[in-house]
Amino acid sequence: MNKPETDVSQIGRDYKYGFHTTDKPTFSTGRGLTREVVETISAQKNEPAWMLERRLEAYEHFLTRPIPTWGGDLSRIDFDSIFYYVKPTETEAASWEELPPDIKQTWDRLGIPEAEKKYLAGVGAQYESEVVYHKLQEELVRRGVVFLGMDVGLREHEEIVREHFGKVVPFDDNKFSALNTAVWSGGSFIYVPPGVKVEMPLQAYFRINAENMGQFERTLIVVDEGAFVHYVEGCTAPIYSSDSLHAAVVEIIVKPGGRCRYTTIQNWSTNVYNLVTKRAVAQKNATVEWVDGNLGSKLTMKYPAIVLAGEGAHGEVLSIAFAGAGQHQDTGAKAIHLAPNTTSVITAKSISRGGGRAGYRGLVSVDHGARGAKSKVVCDALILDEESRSDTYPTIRVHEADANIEHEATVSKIGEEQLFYLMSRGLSEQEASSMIVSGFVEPITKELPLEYAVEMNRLIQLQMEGSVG
Amino acid sequence: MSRAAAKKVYGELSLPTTSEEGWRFTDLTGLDLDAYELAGEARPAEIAPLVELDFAGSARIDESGVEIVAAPEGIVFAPLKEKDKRIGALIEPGDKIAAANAAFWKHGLLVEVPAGVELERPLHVRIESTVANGSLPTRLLVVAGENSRFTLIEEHVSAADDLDALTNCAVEIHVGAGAKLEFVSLQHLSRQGWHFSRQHARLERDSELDWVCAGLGSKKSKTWISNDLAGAGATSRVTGLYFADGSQHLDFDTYQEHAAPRTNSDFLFRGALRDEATTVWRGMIRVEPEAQGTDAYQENRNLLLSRRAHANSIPGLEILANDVRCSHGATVGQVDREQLFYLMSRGLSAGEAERLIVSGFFAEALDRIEREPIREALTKALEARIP
Repeated sequence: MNKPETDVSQIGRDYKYGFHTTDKPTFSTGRGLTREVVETISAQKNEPAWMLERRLEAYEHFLTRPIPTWGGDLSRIDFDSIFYYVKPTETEAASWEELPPDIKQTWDRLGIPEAEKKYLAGVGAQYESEVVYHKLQEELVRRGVVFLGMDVGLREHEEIVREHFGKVVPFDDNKFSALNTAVWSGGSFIYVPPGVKVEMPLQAYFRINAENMGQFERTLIVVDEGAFVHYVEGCTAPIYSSDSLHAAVVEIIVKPGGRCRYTTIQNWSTNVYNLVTKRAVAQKNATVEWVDGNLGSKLTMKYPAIVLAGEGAHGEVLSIAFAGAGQHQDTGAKAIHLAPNTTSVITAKSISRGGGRAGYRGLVSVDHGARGAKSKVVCDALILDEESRSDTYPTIRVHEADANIEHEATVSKIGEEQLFYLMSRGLSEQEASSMIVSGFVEPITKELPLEYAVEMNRLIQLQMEGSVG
Repeated sequence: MSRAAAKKVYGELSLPTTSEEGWRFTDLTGLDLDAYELAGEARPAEIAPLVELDFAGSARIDESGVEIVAAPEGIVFAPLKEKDKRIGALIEPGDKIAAANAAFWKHGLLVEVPAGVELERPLHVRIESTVANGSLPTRLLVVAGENSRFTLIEEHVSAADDLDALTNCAVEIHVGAGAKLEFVSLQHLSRQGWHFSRQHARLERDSELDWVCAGLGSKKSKTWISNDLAGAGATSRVTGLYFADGSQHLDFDTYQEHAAPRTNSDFLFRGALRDEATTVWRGMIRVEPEAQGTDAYQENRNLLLSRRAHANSIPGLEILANDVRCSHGATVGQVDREQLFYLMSRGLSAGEAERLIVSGFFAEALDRIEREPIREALTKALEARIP
């Protein structure tokens, strides 16, 4: 058993991904957003005309849609200084060696090629606006699994993309889904054929390198009947004195009896606005699970949603948020029960320290006709010092009497009795509080893939508890 | 704010819409405040009292004015004067409804109990809406002096079961250091009218407020209950009960503001819904940085008795201090079929069994009501709602 290397007061302080390289992109639309920028992105990608139409429609909506005044402070985003499209390489590589040295070095430092060898079924790596590397195990390719960058997905599977793109998250869902639809680039396209179970996770890694970068990846996952996939994404960025913007849209469709688990370890540097719309539709007896860890960013506004559209569908959200100095994590979850006998469980944990602000904002909605719907939401928050803040804003709407909905939330500090007990057993206060915090988040960390030590385990176990236990 | 200033605000503002956070689930479409007349003459009728008690002081307010039926010695229990500087200290005309009250209120009651005075028997005020298509904006100002103790019961009633009228009430309560106030607010207005009630209390050091709120009547209503725990060691307990049926829409909006150390608050709301009724319960516990040692709780439980009923529950926590214990719970559920089956297997009819289960559902809230006659009256009123 090792000694804890750092104590809880270090959460979020020791950001080891803040480096950047000085590679030259092959193309950039420059700062700011105009109709021409949208057209240029589309032309660069040689897209079908319908996609350009969607982009332009969304762009017009983005211009007229007011900036949200709830959640976090969005008033300081300078939309004119952001780079909306930066193309780092000419082509997508199929081996790490093909990448330019600076970019390859970045991935090496993040440990991605190493992880791929050991325990991933497929890896996608996005650098700035484009997916620069993509690979899927050949066995899975043979079984019909598709795991591509979204741009390639659109080229090679236009029919599937056209059928689902913007159906789960319409462009006018919110201001940032409109922005994403207008300027999207990169992201993952996944299709899992009926009955195929992808046992090892597919991973996508998102990296921002340039200052004032805007990253707008778009992910579409279609899990066919009885199939299973676990998709894991991680994100990091360098530390700059000015801000970057990440506004992704993720759409998931899980067909009858299928299951999709989507795990996010968000560890953007603290100069990134992370404004993401994630939504999944679960058809009959399908299961959707969001495991959402938010450790980085300046402000995150993200509420992964599950639309339980088919009878017997099940949704689960495990959410954890850490807010350190200067951070605001406005995270949460939504479960929309539309069909009978649908169930959802939302477990949210947050920790705030050093003046950080962490919160849960959620919605559980039961439509008329969703007989027998059941939902349980449990939110717990720890506030580690006097400067920090915790918020809980759940909404419960029930239009169906034959439903049982429960919500509970608790906010507290580390229990003095627990501390006292552990310290009476010889632990220092720091060790004891590390252990308590570790126990507090354990229901979530234990749900992460065992092998997935790259991000979450390193961050939580190393930074908070060493390797206590 | 002067009447003139409030009139100006009233003229400038439009009614809140569902795009505003506090109004997301309560739609005021169809309400025209100006269509209800500020009637000069009341048309009083015999209205059966909900609670029959031996009151120390009693008053009636209707469109014609304030009638002090009985006032005890040693306290102020009198019509509220427009010049009273304390008016508006807790309620600002921040929206059109509050501005309407500030601009147009005619009749109000001042209840001022000096320091150290304890009243054994409760005080009572009944606000009677008697004019069809009438608007009745009223105010209550309650000042509990240091270490005073008393109970005040307010009732909102209508002269007829089908009276379409608008009632808009503002209640400001100051609970002095060490005082203990029991405040009971019973709303059983006609099911044809609109009702708005803003109730705001400020609690000083070591004071105690025990509040009961019952919402039974009105077509559409919104009731705000705010407690500012402004002095160290203050405690507030709010118990809410509501029952909505037909097409009633009842909205309760509560705020627990902890602004001083070692303050406690405990809000518990239980509501049952039948037919196509809608309820909204919204709550916020806010703990300011200086309010270390806060213990705060909020709970909202809803029982849906028919499939078209519709409950919204929006609890909330905003915690800016760390040495706190704050929690909330919200549920929406139905009558437990197993319980129902069990009771019916013992020979009860479906109606009897359901009534028993609903009574059980409200029991925990009713048990918190200290005065037995009030508890009994409310139990009876709730049971009367189950067919």
